[in-house]
Amino acid sequence: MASDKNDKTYTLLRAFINDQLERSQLEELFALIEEADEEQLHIAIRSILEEEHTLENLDFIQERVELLQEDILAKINPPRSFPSKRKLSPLRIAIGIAAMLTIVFTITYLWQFGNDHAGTDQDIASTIMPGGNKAIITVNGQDFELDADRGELMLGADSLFYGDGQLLTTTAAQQTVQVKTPLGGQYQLILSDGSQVWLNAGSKLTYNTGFGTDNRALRLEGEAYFDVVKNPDLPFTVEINGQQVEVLGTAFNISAYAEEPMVKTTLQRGSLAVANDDQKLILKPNQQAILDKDAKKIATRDVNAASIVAWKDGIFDFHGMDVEECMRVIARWYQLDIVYKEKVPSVLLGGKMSRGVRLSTFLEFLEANFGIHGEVTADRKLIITANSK
Amino acid sequence: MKEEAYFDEAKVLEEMKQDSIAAFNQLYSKYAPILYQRLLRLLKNPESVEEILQDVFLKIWNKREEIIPEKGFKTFIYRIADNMAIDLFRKIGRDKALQLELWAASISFYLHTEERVLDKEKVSIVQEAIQSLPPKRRDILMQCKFEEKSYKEVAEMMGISVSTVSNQLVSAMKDIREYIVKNYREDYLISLIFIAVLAF
Repeated sequence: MASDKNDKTYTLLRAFINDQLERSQLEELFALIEEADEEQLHIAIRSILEEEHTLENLDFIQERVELLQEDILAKINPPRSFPSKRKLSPLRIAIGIAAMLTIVFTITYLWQFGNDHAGTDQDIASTIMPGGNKAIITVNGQDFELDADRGELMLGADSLFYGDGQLLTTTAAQQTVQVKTPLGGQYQLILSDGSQVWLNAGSKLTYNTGFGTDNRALRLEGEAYFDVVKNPDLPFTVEINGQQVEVLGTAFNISAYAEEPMVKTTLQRGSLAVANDDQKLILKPNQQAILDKDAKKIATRDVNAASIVAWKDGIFDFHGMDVEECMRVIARWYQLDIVYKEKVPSVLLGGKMSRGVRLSTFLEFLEANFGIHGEVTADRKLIITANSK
Repeated sequence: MKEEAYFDEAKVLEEMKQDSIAAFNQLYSKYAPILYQRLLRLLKNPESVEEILQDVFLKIWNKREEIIPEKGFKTFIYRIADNMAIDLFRKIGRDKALQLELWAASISFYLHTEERVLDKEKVSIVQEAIQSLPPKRRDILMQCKFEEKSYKEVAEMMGISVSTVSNQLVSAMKDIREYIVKNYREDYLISLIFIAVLAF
């Protein structure tokens, strides 16, 4: 038995993997490895790698993994709309068509817009414009309507001002500040600690002055994306009905609309703790915590965070959404009531679209890809029928 | 709480067999970060890890029709990755120059570790190497690693993209490795360690 040698190899390997090996021992290690039985060596290395160890460089790894993914996808040479010898799944066909249509519609839209004769189309849907930068901020009971063109608001410790420096109002200690986006509105905010918040349509963010110095506590209804500046001394917390989220420095999205059955917290990078009265879970990047509001239970699943946070960059990403969820997203952006005339199929949608298009463009997209027909009434009801044909 | 309650791997694998890139992406998002972490501990060098991961995932895609979900995909993908990494590791071991580079990579990783008691001598080598970096690259490294700014903050501050920040970091580590290899050839290093030991 060469067990002494095996032990020595194991000890040195372990020191090496844990970055504790001296340069002078490296040669000895590799000499032992050269003699070692291949299978034994594999077992040794694998068992050391399986040992508990601290997770390091998570941000770095996440970033590298995302960059690498692009390289890999480029090499995979995705089967596009040209059918190959392989069987095409309906979902893939749908995504392919969706991608093409998005381009076609964008061009059509730009062309119409550029020629400025939108009035020729009598369809109501083509007159319904997408949402934009809209929000109302309430300080101590006083409302301020935010300027759509300035795009972002800085919520300083004692004053509120636009990104270009224009003062909106000052604040005093012990006041409550509330930013509310209407349906069809969104707004970008910069908090006094430097963290950024994108507030989606139909949402409400509340905090007390003293945020950034005494605490970093916020309350949210609706949906927001947070990019939080790291500060180990002052944890950043978001309170949602029935759930708390706590982070140090990270980027994440919370969707907590009253009309949605689930509260979804998605981590893009860093780490995050989500808790209710009975449970506390830690998320890793590309994981999502789902709180079932009725059962009061939180579960996690793996997701593609980039697709979930795409809204903040002006994109609808319908990947993984069912028809009804997709319709609720649309209802919030175009200020509609959705009426189902017949039961819609429970298929998962796919595809991406700009949030800057008229409603008619979206409806064409829906019909062409999923056979779902939508018609708008004058009082902004969107009537859905499963298949027009 | 079962973590994977919503991730039906067998179903995702089935979808990937039907050529679903989305399914492939889901598997990638699930496995690439943990495999990256795992291989980095053995190979110490982001470039080597990325080369291997790329091969692993291309292999997974190209052989997707042969994957049998019942046999355990996790075991399967770990085995492919481990085997490739261990092969490379042994190859490095047979070459003196590559060995030194590996060691240099392992100490340049002291840069990342936050709460580790550092060996004085290694720290000074690394610091010297950092000083030798081009100013902008050094600046990015310092901001990210020592001032703990997020990549995004650094990117915004310097007016560059997040991927440029991460690429600059990888280049910085490479420069540091090369500096150490060039300036700390074995014999010199041994005498240095010897002096360091005497000094205590």
